[in-house]
Amino acid sequence: MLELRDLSKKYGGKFALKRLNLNVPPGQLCILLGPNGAGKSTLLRILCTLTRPSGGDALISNHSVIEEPTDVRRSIGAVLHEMLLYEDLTAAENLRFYSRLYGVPSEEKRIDDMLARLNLLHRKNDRVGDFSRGMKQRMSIARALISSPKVLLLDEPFTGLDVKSKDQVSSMLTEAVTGGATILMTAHDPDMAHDLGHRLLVLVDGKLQYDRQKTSVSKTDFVSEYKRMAGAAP
Amino acid sequence: MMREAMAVAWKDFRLELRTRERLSSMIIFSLMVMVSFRFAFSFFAVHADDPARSSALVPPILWIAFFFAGMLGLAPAFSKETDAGTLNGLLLAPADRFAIYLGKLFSSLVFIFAVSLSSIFFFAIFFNYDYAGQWAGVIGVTLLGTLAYASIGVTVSALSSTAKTRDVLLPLLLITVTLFTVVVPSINATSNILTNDYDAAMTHVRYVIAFTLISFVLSYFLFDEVLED
Repeated sequence: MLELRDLSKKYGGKFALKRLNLNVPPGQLCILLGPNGAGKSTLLRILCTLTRPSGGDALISNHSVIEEPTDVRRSIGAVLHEMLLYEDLTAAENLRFYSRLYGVPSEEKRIDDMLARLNLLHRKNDRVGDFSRGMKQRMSIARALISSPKVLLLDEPFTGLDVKSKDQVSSMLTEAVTGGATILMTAHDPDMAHDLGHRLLVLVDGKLQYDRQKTSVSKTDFVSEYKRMAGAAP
Repeated sequence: MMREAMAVAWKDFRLELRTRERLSSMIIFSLMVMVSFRFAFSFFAVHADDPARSSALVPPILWIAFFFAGMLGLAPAFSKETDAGTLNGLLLAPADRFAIYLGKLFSSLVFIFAVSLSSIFFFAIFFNYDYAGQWAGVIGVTLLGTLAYASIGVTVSALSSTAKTRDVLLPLLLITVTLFTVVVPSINATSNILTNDYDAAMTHVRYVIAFTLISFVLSYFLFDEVLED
């Protein structure tokens, strides 16, 4: 599970996030939308323990990002804007390295499984530097999922993916959620958000402006409301 | 902690095996130092008959090579991770940040010590010098000195990796921190060994060991802060 308690982040004198409160139970896929500069990536970086909050706290699997960052990191898998991949290592070597960092048991079997599911097994021994943008993005997702994390934090994971790859990744995320994982994912496309997510959140100017279950709002209403909120952002 | 540290070191060795960027630049630099001194000595007729026979000249020349070649090895330890956007991958690992330090220390130490060893052999060849039969002592002091140098160098490399002025900051910090704590005592210890004055050598060796321990303790407590966003 994932919980925000009056979470704030200030850069200089300006709030990037203002007293956010949120509770995401296990098995829920939350999609966080918002215009550029709304604070989505900052929120994900705080949840990943890469940035310290200025106020409040966030709990992941009941561990505080401030007090127990190592326990938090053990629970999460993250896809950030950076791929976090070594271009001079092969696909297998990259995943082997991260498996060792996370102490993944039966690492070779797990690596083959992840690569097969993301349609990259045939490129297992090729340098990641030779991969296309979409293949690197799939590798980045494989890296995040390699430790079977309880909480997935995904910053625009569909960037650069073709339709087939998007479907593969979507089905992997759905499978993870069915298995009890919690997912918080940022996105820009409200249509896709409504199709994939269980819960829809909109962050504007550092404040959570919208929080509804998908079942309580039609796609058309959500898209028009999101456009209104995003368009009204400064 | 050791599992994560070894994973980081394994990854660095693997990358180096594939690219050969760090070791090749370090070895070429160390070779250039030896060639330059050899020509300078010949040109100015310094100890023309047996140029490196003076035990006072050998250690400083060696440590000039160790120090600057080591700097070439330490700089990419974190700057390459920062430039490639992979540093966050290390920071996301469920391990104490000190494990990252230990992994980087181990890989950097192996690179720097390997190049230092090659410098010792280059020196022997270019100056036709046999270290007065004290090979083991010279190599032992070199290992200790490079450990001390790398122990603080890895932290300095992490500290400077995100700075815009890192190309200036890293050498400046390394010279400031290690000149009188590692380099000068190591030069003195090597000189003493070459003149068979082991008691005096041990005084300097103890000084370097003390600095290494302080460096470990400082890095243990500060490394998390150094890597903080």
